[in-house]
Amino acid sequence: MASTSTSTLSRKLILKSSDGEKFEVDENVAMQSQTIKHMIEDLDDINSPIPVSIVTGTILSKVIEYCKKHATEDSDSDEQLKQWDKEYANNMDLNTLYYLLLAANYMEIKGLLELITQCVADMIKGKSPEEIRAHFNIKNDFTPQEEANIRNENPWAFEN
Amino acid sequence: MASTPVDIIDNGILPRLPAKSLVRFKCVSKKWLALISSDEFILRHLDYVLYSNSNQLLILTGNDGFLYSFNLDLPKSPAVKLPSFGEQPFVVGSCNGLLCIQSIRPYCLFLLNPTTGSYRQIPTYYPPRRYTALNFGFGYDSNNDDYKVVRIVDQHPRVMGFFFPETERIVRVYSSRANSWEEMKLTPPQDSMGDRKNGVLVNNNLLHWKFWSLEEGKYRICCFNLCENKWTHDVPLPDYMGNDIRDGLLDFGVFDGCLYLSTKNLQQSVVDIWVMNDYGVKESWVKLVQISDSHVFGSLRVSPIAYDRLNHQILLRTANKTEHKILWYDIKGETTKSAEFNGVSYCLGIDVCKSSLVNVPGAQIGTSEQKDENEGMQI
Repeated sequence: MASTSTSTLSRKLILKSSDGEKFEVDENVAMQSQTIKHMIEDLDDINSPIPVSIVTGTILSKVIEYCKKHATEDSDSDEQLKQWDKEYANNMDLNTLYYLLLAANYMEIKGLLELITQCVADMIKGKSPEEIRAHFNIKNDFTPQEEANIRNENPWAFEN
Repeated sequence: MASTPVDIIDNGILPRLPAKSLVRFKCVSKKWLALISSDEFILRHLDYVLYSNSNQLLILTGNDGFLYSFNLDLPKSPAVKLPSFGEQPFVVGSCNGLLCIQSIRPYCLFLLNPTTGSYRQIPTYYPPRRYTALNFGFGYDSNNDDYKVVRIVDQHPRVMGFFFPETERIVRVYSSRANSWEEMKLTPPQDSMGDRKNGVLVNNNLLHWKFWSLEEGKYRICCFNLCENKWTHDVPLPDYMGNDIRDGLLDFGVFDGCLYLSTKNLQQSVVDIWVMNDYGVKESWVKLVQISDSHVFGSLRVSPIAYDRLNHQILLRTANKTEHKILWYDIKGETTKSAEFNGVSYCLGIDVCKSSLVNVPGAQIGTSEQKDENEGMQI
């Protein structure tokens, strides 16, 4: 009896990344993703792998790391959790952050989406308009005169 | 690089950027210019600005007669000189990233967004010929989406060429929507309030002034509600020093969104800074810090200006009869160090303002050189 109730509490799910990598995770960890939560509700066989189609294994493992930390109701205070979040995000380069942003958006993990969004904002806030265009692949559709006029309105914003 | 969905950039990342970055990113593309300039985006950005501890500007009054804005998030960047509208500018108040500034020669009041440079002159009401007190307050009426300035004057009424010895108190409110002043008919508190005291703004619409009640022999703080255009209530004060609080109260204002009092305990030679965490609740007054008198040089006025939570320090302004100082006070180490601002060697005044993109209603954009002639009206 005891073993049955334990297994109900920590049901395992298998998540499958876009490149075929499989991850076994506790249900409460996976359920932080609204997308997966909805998928499970429609699932007949809980043992079959759940495809997370647009997320690669490398990124999915990072997503799971975040979900595990936020699923456990242990003694971490808000302050400690914030510190953990900070270190988690600081350890990634901009490219990884973008993929993580896509994953968090697709998987609908609100906390992770907010964390990474703020982190990307902090990383790009000091950049020049030229760098921003390159990052987001945006075409400059101003004439040189138009651009100069905008710059002249607030020249101090272009100084460090 | 992954191509980030437009929605995440527009609604997620961009509203979290500091206003300075957004002003710069207006020239990324036509689409970004339109987005960053839209009312909807400006309000979404304001939500983040008001919620965050960052995006804070210090408005410094330099001894050269100019105002400067200094970004607390970028302490190495030099202070930026703000447009000048007249001599001896002083800050009446700030709200949602807008400043209300008064200058003399020419005598005028202006609304200015120190981040974007948008500004508007307010129709001038010159001070009356004989007055004993002239006080202003600035805030926002969210019910009517209206920025307002309150002007309280204690003047000697003039009848047939003679000035009455008794003063009368007249309250007028400027509405940026109507772009005009209106006299309030309701009787204001009659206790004495001093001269050149700016209204202390909480929650955008509640302006407070300190009055000395001769009848009760104590201070009271009264609130003028900008949404209702009337005096609504007195704020309960803490029981901070037995009965005689007159000598003890050094200053009153707003700090980190809460009302504060600074009080002096003469027996222990310390200055206490109190904050009211829960607005209107007497029991929610708590001592934020206790500062030894020696740190603030026996100052007659001690005002907390800004809170640097990251480094656990408070920016303090102290003043005695001969000099005033601006200091960083380390809460944990109980030490002080002189505050320095790149670009302003000595400041006469210091105020705080959020850095937002909010447009001054009916504003012109441009530098002060282009401003119109002073279109004052005399009373």
